[in-house]
Amino acid sequence: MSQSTEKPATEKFAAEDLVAQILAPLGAIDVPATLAHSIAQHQQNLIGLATALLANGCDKATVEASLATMFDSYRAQLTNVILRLKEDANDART
Amino acid sequence: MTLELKLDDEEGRLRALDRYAVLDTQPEAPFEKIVGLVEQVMGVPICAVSLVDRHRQWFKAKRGLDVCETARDISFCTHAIKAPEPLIVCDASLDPRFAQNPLVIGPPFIRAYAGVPLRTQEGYNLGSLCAIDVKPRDFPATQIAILSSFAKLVVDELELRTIASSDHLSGALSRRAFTEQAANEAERASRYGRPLSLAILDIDFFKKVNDTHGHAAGDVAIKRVAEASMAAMRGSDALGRIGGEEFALLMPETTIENARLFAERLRATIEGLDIDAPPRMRVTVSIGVAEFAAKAEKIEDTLARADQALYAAKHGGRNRVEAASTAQSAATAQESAAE
Repeated sequence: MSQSTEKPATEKFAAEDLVAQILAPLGAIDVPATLAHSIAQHQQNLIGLATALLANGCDKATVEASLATMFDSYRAQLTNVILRLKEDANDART
Repeated sequence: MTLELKLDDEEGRLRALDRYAVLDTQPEAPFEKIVGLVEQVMGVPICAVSLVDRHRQWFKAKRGLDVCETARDISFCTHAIKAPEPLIVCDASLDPRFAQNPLVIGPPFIRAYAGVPLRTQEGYNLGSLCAIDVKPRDFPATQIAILSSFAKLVVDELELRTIASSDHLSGALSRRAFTEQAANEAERASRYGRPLSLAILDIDFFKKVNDTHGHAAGDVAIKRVAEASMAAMRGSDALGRIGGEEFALLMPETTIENARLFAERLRATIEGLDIDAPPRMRVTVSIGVAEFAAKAEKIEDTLARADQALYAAKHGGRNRVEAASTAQSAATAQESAAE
């Protein structure tokens, strides 16, 4: 893995910035309230991962790639869950 | 929020593991990607998402391992889930707990191990995310921090799946998830010739609760009835919310006689609940039970018979349990055959 020369003090800020970029597409999704906690928790855990990777000396591109891999998986599952919750809600109405 | 660890509640831990319904499922991309990244970032030849069942550890995802499970008593992860902190073993051959372990002196010849517990929001360690080397090595704090972060992402993925199958208000399974689980249990009961029973439980006069005390109080009543039911049932049982104030309880390995006894105890428990919605109130439930007749019907027919028994309980005065008779079972089977 490539090593970074960034200072540790900037790692948390850089991690939050990277995660905010990765999570930006979520803004376009109509997320049910029941999933809000899960998404907030996932965001915090991604920040934790990014911070740990940066502290381990990984460069920004490597961290971005890892975050993107993790979030793509989560987003795919999230979409399935949203569809399922909407179907369940429709079932309950009929 | 401070998380209360439940390291000594093994039965609760196993019930929690059951609720995630992940054991023996197919490989899934999110977990495969996580072990792939752990392998890459930590530079280890072996890593796994290991879930610790009653007698085995089972791998949801793995790298560098040829088996999908091992006996629990030889697994490192069993040690990892008993501690609040990650388990780090730099040289297993020098550690008296592991030096003679079959996984150390035989394949895959583990020498170094780092395992971070997969901790649920309830405080149960379901298993661990582990990184393993076949030569002695240190695991620096920065790498343990990475492994810990990946472990949290594993739990995120597991919990996201449970949201899809849960009823948000009561915490019971959704109707769809319950129906799927009932079908799976019916298949298992048919294959192995094992008993399986169902109960349908309905809160009495629920409309009056809502009309008198408001929907918020009604919601509290639903939650408390679900909590009491889940506290009373075994780890292998499943509770689903199948209607507004109606629940279904799936009881594997249970005959109609035992299902009726359990339902009676549950009815009495719920009758004694002091429900803390403002205002304080009490509710009762009517319950219908039926045993799955594997050779004569589908599980949907059993649900229908339990529903008929519930109807009889309602008409018999409510706050009571009625069991569907074998004769009803035969009649239903004959009707099904005639259709």
